Amino acid sequence: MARMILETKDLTKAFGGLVAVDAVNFKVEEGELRGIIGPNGAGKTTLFNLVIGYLKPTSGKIFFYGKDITGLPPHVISQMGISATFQLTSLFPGMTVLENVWVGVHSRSKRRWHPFIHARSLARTKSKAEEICTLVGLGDKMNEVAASLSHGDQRLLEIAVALSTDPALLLLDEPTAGMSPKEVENVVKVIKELSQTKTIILVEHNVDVVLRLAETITVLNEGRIIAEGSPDEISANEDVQRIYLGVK
Amino acid sequence: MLPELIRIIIFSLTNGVVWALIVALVALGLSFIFGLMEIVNIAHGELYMLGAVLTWYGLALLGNFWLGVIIASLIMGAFGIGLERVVLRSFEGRVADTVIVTIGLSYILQQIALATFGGAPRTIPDPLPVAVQFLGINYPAYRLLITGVSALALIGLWLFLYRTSLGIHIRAAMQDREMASAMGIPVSRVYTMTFSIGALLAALGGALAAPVVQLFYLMGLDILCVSFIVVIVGGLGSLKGTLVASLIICPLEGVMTVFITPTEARVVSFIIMAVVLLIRPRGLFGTAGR
Amino acid sequence: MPQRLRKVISKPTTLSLSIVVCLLALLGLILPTGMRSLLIDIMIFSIFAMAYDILFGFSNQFSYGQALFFGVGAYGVLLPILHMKVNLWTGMLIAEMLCLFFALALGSLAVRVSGAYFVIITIIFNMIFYLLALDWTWLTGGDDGLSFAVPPIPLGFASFSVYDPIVNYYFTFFFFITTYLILKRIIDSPLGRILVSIRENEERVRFLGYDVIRYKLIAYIISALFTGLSGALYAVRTRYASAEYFSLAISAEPIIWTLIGGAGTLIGPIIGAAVITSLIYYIGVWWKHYLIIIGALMIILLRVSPKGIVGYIASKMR
Repeated sequence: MARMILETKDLTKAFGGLVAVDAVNFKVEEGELRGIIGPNGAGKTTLFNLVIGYLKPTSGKIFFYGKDITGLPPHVISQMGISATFQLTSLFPGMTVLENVWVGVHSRSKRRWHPFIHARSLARTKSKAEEICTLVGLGDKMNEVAASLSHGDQRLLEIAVALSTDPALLLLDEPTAGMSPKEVENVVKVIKELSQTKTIILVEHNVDVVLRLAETITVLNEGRIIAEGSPDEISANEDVQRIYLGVK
Repeated sequence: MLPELIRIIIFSLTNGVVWALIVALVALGLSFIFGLMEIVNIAHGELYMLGAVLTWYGLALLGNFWLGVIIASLIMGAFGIGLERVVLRSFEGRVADTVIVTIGLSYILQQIALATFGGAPRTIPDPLPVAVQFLGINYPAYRLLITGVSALALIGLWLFLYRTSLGIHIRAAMQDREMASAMGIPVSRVYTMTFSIGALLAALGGALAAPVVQLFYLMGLDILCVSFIVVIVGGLGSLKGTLVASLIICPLEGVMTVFITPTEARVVSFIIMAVVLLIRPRGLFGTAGR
Repeated sequence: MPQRLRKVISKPTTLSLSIVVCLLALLGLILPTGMRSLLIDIMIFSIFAMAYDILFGFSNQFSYGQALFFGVGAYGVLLPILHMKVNLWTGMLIAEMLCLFFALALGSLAVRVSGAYFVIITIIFNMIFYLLALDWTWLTGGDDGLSFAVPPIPLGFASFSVYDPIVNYYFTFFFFITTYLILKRIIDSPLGRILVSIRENEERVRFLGYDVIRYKLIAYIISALFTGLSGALYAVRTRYASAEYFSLAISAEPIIWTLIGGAGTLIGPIIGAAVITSLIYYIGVWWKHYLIIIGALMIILLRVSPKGIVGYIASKMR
């Protein structure tokens, strides 16, 4: 029986009168490739932001490997092993692809603030960053400035940056947004490969991608989980079909 | 007959209240400019200074103090329009840039004043050289008069903000710029008018204060400091907050100067400001938003 | 501008730097007194400028209050020498320790806020020191300031009088070169790159596991230490310090230098300091309203090329 990597207990987030996430009990096992889908405003991104520490919950708790991470600051949560990509690409625009990834890799070094670091550990950090760049398919663009990349490549870099901290749990927020079909295929391939070693939670609008990749799918609507199951079960689910009626 | 100390305190307190209303006029402009356009206007004190200096010129050329006050305020209001559209428009929203540009602007305005008005401090004769007796003190009537005028100006401002469409647009844009724009409010015109009104108010404050203080090309620094204190403590973009903060800080400084030097009193005010900024950046009545 | 010169300014090679260093070293001996004095001032202000670049150019903390540390550095060396007759090195060490103390105390508060609130809090802290310096004339001499006799510099068995302009030049030159080397090292190090990434996207850095506040504080402290150094050197150079050393006018200077030369390049602010200091030296003597030029320059430059001269060049290089 695999360990529970992420668990939320009655997690709630309200913005004034609007309840974006409503007493959600969400569980993910270690090693899963979990998909989260739901219409706009369902609370997917809010749930996402709660887990990574960007938002503090109104009530409820979040556990990571059984440890209570509710309300912890984002940098602490990151150090514990959670990493994320963002819906709106969030990179270091003036820095090269390699430098972008380097920042995250370096965050796991000991005494990272020290201005005088030994050349050997610097080399290690650099080669690890190069590995990750190659993994996502940006190996030939490592010296290009992030701001000059195409949208699709920027989304890839976004994933690379999330990977750079060597997380146990990787959250991807609409990684294929705005990508061409070929780029989508590439990302699907990368995610599949990553799922061998990491637990991945994938928030996606592209239902097609989610149905192909995810082993289990959670469906959110109006801040609540309305269905959870295998891709076949979810496709056949009447409630899900009703919500998505007219929406691809 | 009240003891000497009490009389001094009452005098200082009254000075503080008088000053509080002048400061409120100046600080409100700063608050709206900051709250709406994220412009940290380091040159705001110079707008006040120019209001005072132009009033001096008005008096010298036209022989009438009040006419000078009106003309000075209107000139500065117009100047504000030009300033916002020509100079500041491209830097709005970028705090560091607005600080740099307004520092440059303050240098230019100070030097122009120095070159034309001169470096020697001048005074304007008291337009109402009588004293009023109350609570055991003899108090200059002119200062009470400017309290009245300032109060009228503030009421006028309140009416403008709550009863005219432009005023409502300003308040709406300050709450939520995007929403206001989406609702069809001409945001850039609102910005220009806000800055213009802010400049006018600052100049009016300077004009009214002119007979009471010494006119000096660097007189803007002091009012800038106290304005910032009042804006932060009272809360950005809040008419009520700025007024309340002003009525707290200025009389407090006034009373403190009975016991410590004005400089030390100012330091205390600054410490209060720092505490507020660190603990509750929105200030006492700050509107939500930034 | 010739290709070679462009490259030299934005990414100086060891060779080009060595040439500049040798040139500066020589100039100390051959220049006439007036120009030598100017160059000393340029070097002192360059240290101030580089310190500001670490804070603003590299970790994106726009401060309008660095004169606080300039003044602390100046009085930090003056007061111990004046009252306790310590030697020059001890005086400078005390100045640095005071800067460290205030940087820690004030920085821990200031770095918690950012943007408009940060600049305002730096103004507040600066004004508090300035006003107290004006008021506590028993300590600082207020507006009139205090003069002091600078003891000779002990080096091994020899001792050099700082009243000899050539000695003053090399004394300053030593600190100028050292500052550049240390700060360059820091910038090229991982710490430097973390600061840059904070400037590029502060939020992302947080989500990568960095305690951004701690790094901002480190940058703040480094900046304060070297700002204090420049203040101490200036006090030694002028044999004097006054409350004006804490003024906002002084706080504005590094902002102007950085604007002209270009933030985030370390060399840029040096060029900015050189340009402005020379401008004031040559023009300020016969036109007392030179500040109008500087004010206009600030506005125009920001409009045309926000990255300053060097940044403009560097961005053309990429």
